[in-house]
Amino acid sequence: MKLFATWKAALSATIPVAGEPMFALAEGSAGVDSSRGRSTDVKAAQSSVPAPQENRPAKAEPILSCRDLWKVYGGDARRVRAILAEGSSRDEKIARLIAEGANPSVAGVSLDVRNGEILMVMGLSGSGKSTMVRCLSRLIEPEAGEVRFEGLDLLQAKPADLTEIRRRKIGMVFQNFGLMGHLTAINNVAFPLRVQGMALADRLAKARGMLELVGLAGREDCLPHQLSGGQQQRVGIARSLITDPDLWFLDEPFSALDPLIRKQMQDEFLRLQAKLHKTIIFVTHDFLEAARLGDRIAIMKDGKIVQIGSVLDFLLNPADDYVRSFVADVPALRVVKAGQIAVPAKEPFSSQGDPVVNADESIESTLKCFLGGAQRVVVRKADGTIAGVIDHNLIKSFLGRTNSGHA
Amino acid sequence: MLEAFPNRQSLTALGCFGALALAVLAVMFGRELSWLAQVPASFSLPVSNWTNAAIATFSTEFRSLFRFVGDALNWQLKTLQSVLLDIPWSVMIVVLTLGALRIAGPGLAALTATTCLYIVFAGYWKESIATLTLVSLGLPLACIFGAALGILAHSNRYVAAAVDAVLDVMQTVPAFAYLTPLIVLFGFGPVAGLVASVLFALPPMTRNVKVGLDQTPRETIEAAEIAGCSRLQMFALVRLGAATRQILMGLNQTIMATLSMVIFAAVIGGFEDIGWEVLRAARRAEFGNGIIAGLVVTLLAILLDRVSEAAFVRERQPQNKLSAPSFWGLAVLAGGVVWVVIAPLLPSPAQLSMRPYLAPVLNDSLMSVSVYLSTVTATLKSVITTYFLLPLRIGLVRSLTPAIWGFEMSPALMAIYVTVFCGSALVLAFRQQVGAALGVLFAGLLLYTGFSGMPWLPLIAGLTLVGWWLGGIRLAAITAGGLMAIAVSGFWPSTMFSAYLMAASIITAIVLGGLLGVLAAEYEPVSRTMRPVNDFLQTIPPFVILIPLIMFFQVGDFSSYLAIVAYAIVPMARYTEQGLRHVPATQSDAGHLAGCTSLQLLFLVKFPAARSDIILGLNQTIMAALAMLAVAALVGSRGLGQDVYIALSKADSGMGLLAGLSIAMIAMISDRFMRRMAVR
Repeated sequence: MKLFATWKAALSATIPVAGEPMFALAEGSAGVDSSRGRSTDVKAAQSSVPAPQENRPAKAEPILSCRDLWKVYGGDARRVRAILAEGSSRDEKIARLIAEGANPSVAGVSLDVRNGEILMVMGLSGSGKSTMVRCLSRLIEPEAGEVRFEGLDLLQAKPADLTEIRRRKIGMVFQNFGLMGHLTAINNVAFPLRVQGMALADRLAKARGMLELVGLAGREDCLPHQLSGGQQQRVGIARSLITDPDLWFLDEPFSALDPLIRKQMQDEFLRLQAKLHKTIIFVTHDFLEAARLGDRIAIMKDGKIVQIGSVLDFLLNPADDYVRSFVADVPALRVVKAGQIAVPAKEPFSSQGDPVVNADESIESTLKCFLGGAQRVVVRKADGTIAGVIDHNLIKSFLGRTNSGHA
Repeated sequence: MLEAFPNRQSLTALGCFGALALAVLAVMFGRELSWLAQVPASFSLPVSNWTNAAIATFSTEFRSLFRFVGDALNWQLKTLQSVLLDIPWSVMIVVLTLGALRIAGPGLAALTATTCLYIVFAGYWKESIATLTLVSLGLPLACIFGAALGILAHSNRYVAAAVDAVLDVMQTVPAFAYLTPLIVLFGFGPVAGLVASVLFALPPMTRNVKVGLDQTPRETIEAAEIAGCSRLQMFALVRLGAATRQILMGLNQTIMATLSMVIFAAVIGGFEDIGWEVLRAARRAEFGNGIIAGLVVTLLAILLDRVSEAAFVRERQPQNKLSAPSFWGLAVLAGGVVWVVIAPLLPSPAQLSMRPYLAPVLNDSLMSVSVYLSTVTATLKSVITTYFLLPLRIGLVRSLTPAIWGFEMSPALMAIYVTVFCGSALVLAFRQQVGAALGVLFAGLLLYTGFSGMPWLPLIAGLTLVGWWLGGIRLAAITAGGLMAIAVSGFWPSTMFSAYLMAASIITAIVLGGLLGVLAAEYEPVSRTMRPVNDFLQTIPPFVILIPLIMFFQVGDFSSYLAIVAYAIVPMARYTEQGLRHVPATQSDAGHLAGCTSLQLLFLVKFPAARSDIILGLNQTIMAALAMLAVAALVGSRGLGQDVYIALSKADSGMGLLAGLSIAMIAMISDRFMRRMAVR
């Protein structure tokens, strides 16, 4: 019962209870990282007691942050700027812009992206997610706001500086691949290096290595139209990674692919990320994809971010009906991973006798252990340390709080 | 759209009815209301004199420049021609055939060899080389200027709008019309023709370059931006690469346009090319020579089209075993060997010409065929002329005489005529089909007065109203302004004559082409036989069609009419077939399940579904007919085409340009009308 109370506290209030184990619950842009196994501060010996832990890494300086970002289409440019420069609230500005006949596609978005995280940006088509991401790389010029990338104000950057940042530090993958139809796969991958002026032999060697990494060895000389959709996107991924960027944008990279291929590509993406540890902003309209791949999720509607946080936050604490409708049909048991709800054990214990599951396994597989008669389940991280335990009460309250009961 | 009661549609209907009433009044009281019926003499302005004066001033101002350019081009022409003539024909055949083999495969290599040998034995080697000289000099110029213009249009929105408007005019003004001012500027001779070819061939290059550059996918551009492309890199590495296919397609079109205009420009004379030979034969009624030379032109056109298509448009085939340099090295070596070893043993093309023996025989046999068929052709000609062309031209009021139709338009007949048309219009009006009712009334009036007797002011008013209904105030202004400008420059009677010829040919093309299209869509064998015929008609320079027509139907309206029909029927048939074939299967399935007979299916399901395709085909048909107008004038019809042609022979650039612009104006207005109709 104690545990359930903790649950409730954690779920309904957003104030962390000191010393109490809790579910990472993000709020706004200052959310808490609940990513799988990213905290390295606890290195407990196997089958001994893990110290009470905060599932929260040291707060790092965000690699990319934006404040009050606006992109407005249509309307008289000067009037639009005047409205945006006013001190009125966001909703007021939006109303006035629409009255002017303008269409705010990105409306006052503020966001921090931390080093090494995967931020999923979600929303229906027309919600402004692609536009927002393009504003962050200044592919689209925003009307107002601030974008800081590694401490530099991107919107004030001179063209030459911007070009330099793009050449060295940013990579992007596109929904429809954005390949150059007249270049072979290897030349497409080598294109960013060619633009930088690297010598032919060097860039081809690097591109060949990159194609190998994405599993396209042997297809170097194919033209894009000779490749399947999945293969084309592998070329797109290889091209975006060849400059070893710090920040990796993926704009609905798998949406144009068949479901089976999409699944394969998602696995491929996870495999690559495990190797490369990029900071990633990933646009998708598929909640399952977001839940599967992301550390944090931001849901957008009408150019605004409605909620940002972990999968669990969305399932347990949807901000409004819009978000609720988004997650309504999400099979919580499959989407949430054991590591995300496991809590540190109260007292030292020995894991002997208790079934052990991996942190990135779904709750569903944990459930099987309980059905097998276990009283509690020990959750183990990828590096072998213990993430925590899940017991009967925890699972019960989880089932009660999510829609998984009816699923 | 919900509008208050006097909405645009009902206002248009009322206005058109008023215009019709005015027209009837003008017809009834032609004497009193002559200003309504005919363009008053005081109304026209000496626009063509002004144009002439302007061109004269321009040409004297820049005389030295034009002389310099003209001399340079002339020197290049002569040099290139003599170089090409110096190469023995056997060497040329070997190199060209090997080239075609490499570029386009064995089939087209065989066609190349056959064409070359045919040219040699037809005795037109020198003339064909002259034509090739013009093409190979005009083509690079058209490509360079066309591409430069396309790049400019791509980089600036305002330039793009201007270029688009200019190209629209250039592509609709018959090429003959700008030959005349070019002659004034460059003097009589091949250079004026060459420049005209460059001007004529440049639009497809410009259009394709612009479209290709514009159409680079957005994500590709963004990917390049993220890679950090500079502006120059973006253009050279990304956009140009993405546009390559489109530009090569433009190259194929440019080659064909150059050839076709080079053939046309032969009317200027002075270079003894193959087009000149066709024209001369046609003028002298030497049908044997005409057919032989016409076949040369046809073969050249087909060959250039297919080879350039194979080289530029088709998917690249997997590469041959030999690398490109070694293949071309071998080809040059083979040419050299033939030059040294075989060429000296062979007689010159002139000695090999079979034409002196062949042409008279062919001529005689063709003559006897045409005499043998003369009863058929004469009957055909007189029936169509009497019962179709004449009423359209001068109306029943003047053609329905004992001399022509064998009976008179008696008051009783007149009463029946009026009752039939007004009655059916009333019935339609009661069924709420006001547009159709107005159409019937207009048709009745037109049939009565003919195009030549159609009162001009009510016609312009009615068309303007329809333009307003279709495309708003802009289209109304274009229609009124354009037609008034034609009237003011004194080309109204010619325009009405052309309108009659166009109407007759277009009606025929719609009926026959539509029928062929339906048949082709329903029966695969029809489609299969029609395709090469259509290809053939679209590839050969329109000039060549004239020869058999003159042969069988002599010079006159009827031959012009047939020439236009032959050219205009192709798009109608093509688009109809395409439109019917692309009707979604679900729609025709739904029709089947609803129990349609096949005719019901065609008229109730397929035609409505294919409507916009068919209207586009109709638009293409009108454009083709307009383009053919000036060519058809060569076989002796009157109208705007003839004005252009006469202006050419009198070197009256003002008249030529204005008549040409009138054609362009009609083309532009009808194009806008058709497009609006297609989306409505």
